[in-house]
Amino acid sequence: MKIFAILMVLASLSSAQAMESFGGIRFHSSVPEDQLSALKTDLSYVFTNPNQNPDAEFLQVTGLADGSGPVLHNWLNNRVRYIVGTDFNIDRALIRRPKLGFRYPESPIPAALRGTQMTSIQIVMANIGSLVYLLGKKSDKLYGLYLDRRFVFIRSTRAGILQVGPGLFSDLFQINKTDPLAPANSVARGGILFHEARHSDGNGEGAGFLHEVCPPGHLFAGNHACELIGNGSYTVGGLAMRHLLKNCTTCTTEEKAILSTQIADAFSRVIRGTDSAKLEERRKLEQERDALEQVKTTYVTQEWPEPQQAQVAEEVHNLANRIYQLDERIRAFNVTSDAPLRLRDATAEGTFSEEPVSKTAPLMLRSLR
Amino acid sequence: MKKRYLILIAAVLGLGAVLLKNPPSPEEIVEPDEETLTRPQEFKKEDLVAKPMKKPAEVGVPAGQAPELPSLDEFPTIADLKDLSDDEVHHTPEVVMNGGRLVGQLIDRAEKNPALREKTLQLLKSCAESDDVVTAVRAVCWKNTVTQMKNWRVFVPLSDTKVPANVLELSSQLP
Repeated sequence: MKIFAILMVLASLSSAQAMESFGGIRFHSSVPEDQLSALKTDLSYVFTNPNQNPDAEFLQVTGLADGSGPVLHNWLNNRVRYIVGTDFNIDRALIRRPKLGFRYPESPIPAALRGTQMTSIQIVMANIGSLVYLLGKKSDKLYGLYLDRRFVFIRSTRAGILQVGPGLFSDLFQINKTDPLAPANSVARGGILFHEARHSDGNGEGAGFLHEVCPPGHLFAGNHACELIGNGSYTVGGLAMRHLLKNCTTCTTEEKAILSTQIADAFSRVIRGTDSAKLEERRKLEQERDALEQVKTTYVTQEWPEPQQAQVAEEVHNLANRIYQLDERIRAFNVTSDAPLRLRDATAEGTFSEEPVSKTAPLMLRSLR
Repeated sequence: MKKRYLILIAAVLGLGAVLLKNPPSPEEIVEPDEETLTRPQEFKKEDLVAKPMKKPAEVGVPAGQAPELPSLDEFPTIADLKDLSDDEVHHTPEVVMNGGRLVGQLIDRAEKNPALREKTLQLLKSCAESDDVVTAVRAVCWKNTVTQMKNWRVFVPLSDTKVPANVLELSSQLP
């Protein structure tokens, strides 16, 4: 009976250390209970997303078939396999061994990782799986992480190991400060999950979709907090948040304004390159014209109270004049095309398997039971 | 004898339960070779540990019942975001989020008190025009100036607006 008791104690101890799985994503024991509960809520929120108002640009950039919850969850699930807590010590958990049969693709690593100064890159990446993969590739050894009694060797950017940052659950960063599980908080954290998931994509120079240094004049000039492409992490995160916000039926005015600010902030980090200053100048004039046209339409299509009608009529006249002047200036530009943002090949690097929705949806359904 | 059999069965069941609870996946190797499991020298712990967050400038949010609107100074400015580290700006800094919160609170108050609507729109317009205010917040201010003008049917002249192209573009991307 003593042996039996010892075995039972051992079994309970080992299960206490085991990673909890929810919707196909494993949570490391370093994720505190309250954060685990919130992340489960977020994943459930994404999975049960009503999709009455899909964001076409989001679907286009991510390549999603539709905006339904199971499809969104599948996209995440293929890029996020493990989540570790803020206190998870990567240095202690990091392991390396000879590659044995494994071979890295013969492609260059991202330029930012070629030098010895890697601190800033490491700080900006909460997708530690992708980072460890690239470090292993750089040293031509197979790296891995020891996660709750498991050796997880990392053979692809798609290892999908995310580390929760100190800010994610800080009260300062909550949209709804009174209820951590409020839908608005799930929308915000959902956007961040999609942002980090994008770091699991890419190959060669573009592996991990690393951030670029923001150019002079940008709000975050000098920081690794921008991207020069149209399908990077900031774009994906911003679009995901916009998609979720469009479908949030319970978000308050205040919550919507904060989430909109986060979306605008994400998009403001996407740096548009133009072929010439001339193209940029023309684009600015066109944007100004379009915005004024929108305002004019608002004035014209609205029924105004009697005392304001004369003022509105004069304003419409002023707007029409200004739009005419802008049109004249735009026509003066002898250019025919604008430079669209470059899209990076998102195909992930290394050895991994892509799971279909038919396999990931049941995982979430089981977790929701 | 019976007792021994019982212990043996219990042991097998116990181990089975542990294995069932944590089945090994193909990507995992359960037998590390001690000789080869060493940490790379170039990988340093401090490189990955996030620095403590700086406390951003306070945005004074008006009390719910106060009759006066806040001033333009209460919106987050570019100066408030100087010298932040990479990890502080990786996602939206708190001070920027507070700008959005202020916009939301202004709209909420004006929804409840129509007398505040015209002044609110003028303040939002000023916010969108101010070169000192953070771009993302300016975009939200402009979006709400145009949207709420329509919703509230309150006239505010916008033909003389000085909102730059990047703010207009960001605003057009908002839901």
